[in-house]
Amino acid sequence: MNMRIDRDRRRQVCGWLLVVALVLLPGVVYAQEGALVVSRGEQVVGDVATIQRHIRIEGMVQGDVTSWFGSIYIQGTVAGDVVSYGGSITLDDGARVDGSVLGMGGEVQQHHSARVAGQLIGDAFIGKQMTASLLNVADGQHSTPTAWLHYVLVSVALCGLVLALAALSMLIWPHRITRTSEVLLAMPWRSLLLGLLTTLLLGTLLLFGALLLALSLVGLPLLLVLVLLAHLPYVYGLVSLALALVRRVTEAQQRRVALWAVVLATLVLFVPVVLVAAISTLLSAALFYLLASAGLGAAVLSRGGVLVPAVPAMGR
Amino acid sequence: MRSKYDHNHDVTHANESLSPEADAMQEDARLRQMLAAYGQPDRLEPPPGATARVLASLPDLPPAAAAASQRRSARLLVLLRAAVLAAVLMLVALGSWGIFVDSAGVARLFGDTAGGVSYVLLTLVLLAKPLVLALLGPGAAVLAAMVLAFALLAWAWWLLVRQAPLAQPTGAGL
Repeated sequence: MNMRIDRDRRRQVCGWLLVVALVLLPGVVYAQEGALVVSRGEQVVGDVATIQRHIRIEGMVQGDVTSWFGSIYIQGTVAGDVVSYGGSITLDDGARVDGSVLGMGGEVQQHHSARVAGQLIGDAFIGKQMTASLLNVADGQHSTPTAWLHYVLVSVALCGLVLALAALSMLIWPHRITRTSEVLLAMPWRSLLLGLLTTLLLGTLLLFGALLLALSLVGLPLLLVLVLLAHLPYVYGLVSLALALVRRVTEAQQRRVALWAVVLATLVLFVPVVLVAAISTLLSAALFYLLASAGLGAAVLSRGGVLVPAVPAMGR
Repeated sequence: MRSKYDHNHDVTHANESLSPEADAMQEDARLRQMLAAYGQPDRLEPPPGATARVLASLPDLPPAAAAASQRRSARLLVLLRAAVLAAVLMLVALGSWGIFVDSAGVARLFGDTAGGVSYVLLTLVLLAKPLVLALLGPGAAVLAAMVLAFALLAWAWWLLVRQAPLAQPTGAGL
């Protein structure tokens, strides 16, 4: 019997170590620093793609050149397309692009001698200014007063949306959220760990879903809807955490807590997320997922607020 | 002198001359007479509209026709699913062609890429490129590692969910 318990414990410890390693792994894999330069005379067979990293092409790239939040400077030759989300594209003297160029949310500058065989597409279909603002907010760039204004507007809108969803959740599922908060109070660490695991799994699934939608082309606009829908459980988790905090702070033994108290607690939890976004969007997102994951984990444990702890945390 | 069994004998004898249906009716009438002495059966009026409800709940078609119709529907459903799957596969194939082979190829099927549907398709292909290249950029080894990591994470997730000491709520007002 003891051997069995030891084996189970060893298995659990190995599992947690593995989880920690896997949580840290993506950060190592995707860490990119400095500009990616293809020097004059150098030739790259295949595509060049970066995330938050500038690209400078002086030589030749046989495939496409794409970047998320990174500027692209071309003085050489690109056999494929050039696309940047949130970064500027500069086609300097002697630049040659055999495909098309798409700059979304960033400026596209073309020297009169630079040649583009395909189309040069801006982001007029959404609104250049709006796209640029949203991408800048997402990238955490607030260098100008206008950028700050956009950041404040987006923050206020996000706060309003989260609070409205919090109030709506409490009105629609008061008992479920109460049970979820009970599970969170009874098993906080298990809930947090499970929530983080759920986030990682959901994120991976979302990546593969995004890949499929992107490959289908017409499904690409649905990606935004998919991402928004994937965040609804996090709002539920945040509200559950808020309710658990209210009950912990007020030592509330009764099951019912005033709606305004929960909404206020949700605001208290969400405001730091918005404030941190002024410094770093990545850090802000990490904080949001960390906070909401605890509630999300409790929601998963309680099967969406159906089950309660076998030994209740409150009123023992 | 006739014994008490003679009557039964007569009845049995008489019954032999009756048809089975008439015999059953006669026995039924006798049973009802005997039960009537005890005020049974106590007849209750059927609920109002029972016949209409039962008739309404019955399918319009006879069983053979209903089965044939169900088979037709099942075949149609299979065809519909196959068509949806084929459409999705075709879209993915077209998209893959646009993203990996020739970005303007799909767009050129609908025009000269300068305007209209052709222009929108080219934009969609270009929009999809950074996403797809960023996801597939790390290479097959990293993708395989991701799939393995996913399986291990799912296993750890399941362990956590399964071992939680939880129960159905019992209190009032739940």
